Order: sequence, then C-alpha cells, then structure tokens
Amino acid sequence: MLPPYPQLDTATRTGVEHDVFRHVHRQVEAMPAFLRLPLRVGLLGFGLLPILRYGRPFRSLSGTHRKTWIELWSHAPVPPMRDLVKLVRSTSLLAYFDHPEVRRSLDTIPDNTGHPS
Amino acid sequence: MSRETSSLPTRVDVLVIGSGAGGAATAATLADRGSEVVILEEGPDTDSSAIATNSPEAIATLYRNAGLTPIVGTPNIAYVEGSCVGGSTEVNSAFWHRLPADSYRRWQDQARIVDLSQETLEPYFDQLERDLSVSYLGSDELPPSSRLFKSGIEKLRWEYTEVPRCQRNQPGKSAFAAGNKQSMQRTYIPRAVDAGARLFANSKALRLEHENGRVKAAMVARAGDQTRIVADTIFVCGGAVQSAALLRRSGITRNIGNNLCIHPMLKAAAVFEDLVNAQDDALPIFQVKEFWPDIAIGGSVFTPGFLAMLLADNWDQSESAMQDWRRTALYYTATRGTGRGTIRPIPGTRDSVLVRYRLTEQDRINLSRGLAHMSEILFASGATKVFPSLRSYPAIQNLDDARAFERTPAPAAAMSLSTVHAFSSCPMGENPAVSATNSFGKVVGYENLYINDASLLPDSPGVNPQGTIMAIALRNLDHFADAKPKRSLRNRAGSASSKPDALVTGAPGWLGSSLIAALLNGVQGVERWNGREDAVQIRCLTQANVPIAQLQELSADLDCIEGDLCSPDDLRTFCKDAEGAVLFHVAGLIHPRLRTIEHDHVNIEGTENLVRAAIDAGVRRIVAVSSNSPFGFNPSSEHRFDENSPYNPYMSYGRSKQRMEVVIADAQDSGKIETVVIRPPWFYGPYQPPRQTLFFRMIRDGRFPVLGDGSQMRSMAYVDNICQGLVLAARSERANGEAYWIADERPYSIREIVDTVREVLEQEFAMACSERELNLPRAIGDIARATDAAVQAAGYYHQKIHVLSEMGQTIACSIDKARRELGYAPQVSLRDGMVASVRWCREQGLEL
Repeated sequence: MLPPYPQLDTATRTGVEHDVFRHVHRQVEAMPAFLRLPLRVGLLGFGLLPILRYGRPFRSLSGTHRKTWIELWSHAPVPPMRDLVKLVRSTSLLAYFDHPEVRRSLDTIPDNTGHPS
Repeated sequence: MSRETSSLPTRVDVLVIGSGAGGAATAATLADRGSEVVILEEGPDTDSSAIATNSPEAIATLYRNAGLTPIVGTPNIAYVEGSCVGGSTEVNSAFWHRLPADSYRRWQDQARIVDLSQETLEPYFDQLERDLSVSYLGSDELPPSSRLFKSGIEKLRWEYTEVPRCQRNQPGKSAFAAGNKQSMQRTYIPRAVDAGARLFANSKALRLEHENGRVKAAMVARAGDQTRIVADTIFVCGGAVQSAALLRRSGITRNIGNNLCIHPMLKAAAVFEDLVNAQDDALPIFQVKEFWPDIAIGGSVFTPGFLAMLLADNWDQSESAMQDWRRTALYYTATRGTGRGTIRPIPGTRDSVLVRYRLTEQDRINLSRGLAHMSEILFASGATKVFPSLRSYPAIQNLDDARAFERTPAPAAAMSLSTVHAFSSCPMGENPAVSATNSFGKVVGYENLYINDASLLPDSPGVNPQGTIMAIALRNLDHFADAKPKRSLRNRAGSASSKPDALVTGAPGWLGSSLIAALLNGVQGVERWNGREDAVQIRCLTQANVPIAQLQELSADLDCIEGDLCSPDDLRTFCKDAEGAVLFHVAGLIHPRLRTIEHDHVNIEGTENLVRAAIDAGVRRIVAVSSNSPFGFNPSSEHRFDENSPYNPYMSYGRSKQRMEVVIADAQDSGKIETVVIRPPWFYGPYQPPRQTLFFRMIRDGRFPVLGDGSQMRSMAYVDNICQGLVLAARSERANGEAYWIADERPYSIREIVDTVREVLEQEFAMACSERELNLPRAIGDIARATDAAVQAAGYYHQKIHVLSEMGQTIACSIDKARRELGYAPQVSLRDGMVASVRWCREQGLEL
C-alpha cells in the first residue's frame, strides 16, 4: 500500500516499512476489544484468501496482483471489507508520510512546479 | 509538576477522575479552597510540549486508542480524543469560544437548567480568559493557509471571525512555538498540585462502589494492581465517553450515556498554485460564521501524513496529489449535529466501550452544504482543486462541481467523518426525562457524586467547547462550595489549637493510625493511656499532600498539623503548648524512593529537629520507634537480640536508626526530657502498605523466595501488639531512659511464616494457592547483600534487592525485658494477625 514516492535507499525504505507496519499493528491493538478480534480475523482473511484466486497468499503476490487485490477489497460491496482496507491504508499512509525519514526526503525534493523546497 | 510514583492512597476527601479541561479546573479550584484532592488520570504524564504536534509519536502517546476511537454508525466516525495528563487540551487547537447566546435559551427551555445565563457565566469566562491567556494572533504572523482562506471568504463577503486561542505570546517567538499553548499541563494542573492536590497518572477508575445514594469508593487500576480508594466526594471528569462508561459500568444508569452529541466533521484538501507550506504553520485561525449554527467552516492541521490519509479514500485516483503537498492545505466543515448517540460499556470487558451515533438526514445535508460552501471559499482563494474526504468522489474541479453537493448531498456511507468534540452524554438540568444531574452537576440520586466535564452540556454548543466546559465547571464548583459545610480537620502549620496530651508523628501511616486508635480507645486490655476520664487530646503531624480522611474516621477532634520533620518551624508549631505531653515519634523512612541520603534527612535530622522542638516546648517524654536494623543479623538462628546487644547497623537504614537512638540517648542525658526507645521488628497488620500486600500475593502465587531450608528465624510484630508496647512505655515511670524490644510472643521461621499465610489464605478465605514454591539457595541472599552494599555505597537504594538481602538471615529478639518491666503481653498470634491482615485487604478490595 505504500507508494514509491519519495525515493528512499533500500535500507531506509526497509526501516520505514518496518516502522509503518509497527504503527499499523499498534493501531489495531489499540482498538477497543470488540473490534480487535474482527480486525485480526479480517487481516488474516485479507492475507490468506488470495490463495483461492491466485494460488498464493498476499505476501507472495506480485506487485500487480497485490494492487488488484487491494482495490478489490477497497471497492467491495461488503462494508467491513472496505473499512478494513481504508483503516489499514490510511493508517499506513499517515505513518509513512509523517515518518521522519520520509519527511526529510520530501523536504529535499523540489515542488512539482519546479519551486524549490 | 508532581509526578506521583508512590502508591495510590486508600482514603481521600475529594477524588477527581480525569485531568482534562473539566477535571483540572475542578481539582485546582477545590485544592485552592483547602480540600484534599487526588486526581486520577488514565493516560500518561507526558510533557505534551516536548513532542512534535501531530507526529506519530504524539498520536501514540497523547491520544486514546492511538488516535482513533470508533463511533459506530452509518458512516462510522473517528473520534479523536486526548488521553494523557491534561486530556484533550494537550492535543486540541486551543480555540476559545464563549457559549453562544442561543444555547442559554435552549438549555433553559429544554433541559430546565436553573440559574444559567450569559450574566452568570460571564465572570467565569473572564477569569478563565485571564488564566489561560486567551488572545488573538498578531496579524503579522498570519500563516499562508489562513491568509488564503481569509481572502476567499472576503471575496464572497461572507461573515467570518478570527478565533482566539489559549496561548501565551512571547516577544520574538512564534505564537505557535512549543509550550505557548496554555493547556491544562501549563495552567490548572500545576496550580492544583501547588495547592496540594496529588496527581496519579496511568491510573484508571474501573468502577464506583455505591450504596443507598452514596458513593463510597472507586476501584482504580494502576501498574497491574487494583486499589480501592474511599472518598468523601467524587467528581467524574473523564469526558463524554469515559464518564458515561464509568458510571454505567458502576450501575449508575439513569439518563447516562443516552444522549451523546458530537460535531461531525468532513475534511477537504485544497491545492493552490503558490506554495503554502502548511506543514510549517498551525492550523488556520478563521472560522466562517455565515452559515452558523448549522454549519461551521475552518482550517485544519496539516502534515503530509494527514493529507495522505485524506486522499486514501480514493488513493488510486488521488495519489498523484501528494506531489503537490507543499501547495496544499487542509480545511474542514462541521455541523452542530442533530443526531444522538449512546455509550455502553461492553459486558465482560474491563474497559471496552461501544459508542454509537446516528447521523441524521439533516446532518448529512448540512455536511454536504458545508462542503459546497467550503469549496466555494477555496476556489475563491485561488485553489485549483479540492479533494473531499468522500469515497468515490476524488476531486472537485470547479464551482459547478462544488455547488452540485448543495443540490445532491453526498450519501452518508461515502463520507469519511471525524469529530474532536463529544458532549451531552450525562446532561445536566431539572428535566427528569433527560437530565442525569441537577443544574449543577450533582448526579441525580446521589449525595456525593458529581460530573464536571463535557458530558454535562445538554446538547452541542456549535462551537469549540473548552471554554463552555470550564466555565460551567467553575460555576458548578461555586455552588458545590456554597452547599457543602466547610469542614477541614487540617490546620496549616502556624495554627495549632488546643493543648494536647499526646503528640504523634507518622500519622496517618501504618503504625501511626493504629496508635491513635489505641490512644483513643485503649488496646489489648490497656486503658486509655492518660489514665483520665476525659477524652485524650491528640495532635498529629501530617505530611503535606497526604490525605487524612483515615484519621477523620477515628475522631473528628484530632488536631492535625501539616508539617515536615525537616522544618524546625513546623515542628515548633507542632509542639506548641504541649508542655507535659508525651510525644510518640513514629515517623520514619524505611524505603526511600531513590537516594539513601533521605534516610539521614528523615530519621536523623528529623529526629534532631523534633527533639529540640519538644524540649523547648516542655514535652515530658518522647517514645521513639526504632527498628531491628541498628543491630544487623543474629549470629545464629538460636541467638536473640536483647537490650544489651551491641550496635551492628545494617546498611543505610540501620545506620540512620542507630544515629536516631543516639540522638534520643543524648536528649535523655541532657536531663531536659524523658525518653523511651521501642524496637519493633517486621510489622504486620491492617492498614498495611502495598509491599505487604505483595508479600501475600507472592506467597499465593508461589513466587515468594524461600532461601535455603527456610529455618532462619524472624521476629514479627502485629501492629496492635506494638501499640500495647508504646502505650505501656508512655505510662511506665520505670521506662524512662530505657529501650525495649516489642514483638510477638516468639520468633517464627520463614518456613512457618510462609506456611501460615498460605494456610490462612486457603482455609480462612478459600483462596487457592499455588503448589509451587520458589526455593533458592542461600547464596542468593549473599549475592543480594553484596549487590545492595554496592548500590547503597553509591548512594542509591533498591527496595527489592534490600529486602532479598535480608531474607536468608535470622533477625530475632527477646521481649523478656518488656514483659518484666512494662507488663507487656502480646495478645495476637501470628495466625490471628495474618487473618486480620488478609481480611483487611479483602475489605479494601485489594487483589491478593
């Protein structure tokens, strides 16, 4: 769910992704008890159900298939599926774009119109 | 700020649950007026100004549920609430509004609130605005996002206002610099603590105990323990959700948690042609009033992460907008909220709460209209695109797109809504159909239970509520003060009254409280020690900020002087007019928090100061409580210390108590005062501190370390046995100038102590104990002793290491001299004493 923008070296990106994962995990664990279990079940389903369609779990999918799977859930007719993706995506993006390393990189990139940072 | 690391008290005068806007104002006001106040805050005591606002660290640390409390409904709404010392005031915008005029009329009519008007609340708003430095931003500091927003509003000629903030503007510094916001951490909390209130963070009130219209106590969870706090009065100030949840969980349900109101909010991102760099600024400070009270429009805090979160609704189409993040700012539209919600604790859980809210059709329409108007402003400001937080509505490209939302409101299910304002879950008033409290926050049907936070507001005020919450809180407290008879047992140092028969230091501690009861009522067949018919006049020295409700229960006539052993002035007041009295010096420090030098300050210097003051005042006799520690360990398990045993002090505490005995001996030698030294070993009995409760728990769990075969002997002293010894020592002429060991009938082996406790738990209280036992080699005690010596040599103290260092040793004494010369006869056996101790723990609700 994380964009390739801005450019980060491999080690930094790995560290950032790790921190984002921890943030999302902390968010799920901070949820009230009556939501925590359904969220965990939902995430488990999200990760394993691609086996039915692609023959492999989510973490083993190609980038294209991952994107397709995410959009499938994002536009699903079942609200909990949409809500799950929304929660994970928005939490991930918040943690990603406010991560100090990403912020540092964003600050060095000229504005889209060519305005300097 | 006072960071309380000590144990929670078990008795208080006033318990304030919650340290946000309502709780802080309540605590500070009552503490200023002389009440003993304890503040419980569920969240951490973290300096909010030391954390970058809206950073992931702030979200994880300062907010409840890591920034997202779900309100279930269609759509679900994210409630963003602070959970830390200072509550939501540490994370909010600090915008300040007075209660709008129309709210007064509506609340008088519908909630039938009495004595509430603009005139009655004005003085409170005036005071608060001074206390919180409510002020406007200087125009030369206007951030670009605000400047653009303002230009758009003015082009449309719509009514708007600049909203003042609780901020202290420092010359030469940005108004938004860290620490400028006058949150509760910067204002009312320090004021409360300075006035004597005690603040306990990470302390969650789980439920309230009540009976026959009176709240008796609160069960509080902290650091894995639960403590039962008995309180004369409880103010619940946990906010709209937590206050209602606590009350309902406690079985207090009438009109509680049925009327939740919120300000639902829809956000949007606006992209401009020029750089805005909104991440460098605080949120825009203008609010549009054109469509108020139904719709409010204003600026929202910006970070790249917040922008991405907003774009996440339509990420596949909006992702590229992140490239323009420097030219983007965030704004919001909110509606007063005509819907209603409920708050219900989830059965079977300790603290889970289900919050629901029904977004009405009118709310949906208002939010859509608000989006349309907000977009008009932004396009007028020069925005090129507006991205609303609506699923499947990626971008508003022009005015026509914007106005379409007025004609065709967006579906509720598509809205990504949030709110930062929740209220009205426990509305005040005189309308029995809806009011949970009377017009002044007193919970209906209870004589000593109050609410004093956002829950009280009968409905949404339509503006940022902090000002209203605090003004109403202060107003309610004035009514509380007028209604409540002023009663304070405590005299500040400098105002001692009456001529005492007995002076007691160390009340309301473990031994001090038992001693006062013994002096008042007699103990173990020993009559009131003063031998007269009239009541014993007792004066106690109590520490500042230590609740004395426990002493009030013993007698309403106790004379309590607040003072410090390290202050000669305080002790002069304590001893004033005490000629001929007996001074029981029970106060001492066994386990300092960190530094061993505290032993010297309290046990040696404190005693020196006390002796000097006592001699100057003509006190007749000092009965000083010492310890076994000046004598170290017995050379064998058969050996017994007696009054001729030489000093061999163990570590810092032992040395300080030895020096204390020398101070007492010097006083005796001066001929100016009589003295008796009492040496009790390990105490046990009711009113025990948490370390003793832990001892029981460890035995029950099979975790108490028995070193070697457990045959090492320990003398123990049940508190009533010690009190008998103290009273006899005070009365006996023979005792003048002597020292006595006071303990139970005989020493016990560690094995016998552990087995007795286990047997009492299992047989008397049907509490299953672990079959396991933690048997460790005696060498562990030697290692602990070496470690303790090293730690203490460096000037530090670690309680657990110190206690473990003594576990493998014999510390046992003979009580023969006390029997012979005082007639001392301990009445309570080990088993009976442990039964009494465990029973007391159970009555307090302590977990064993």
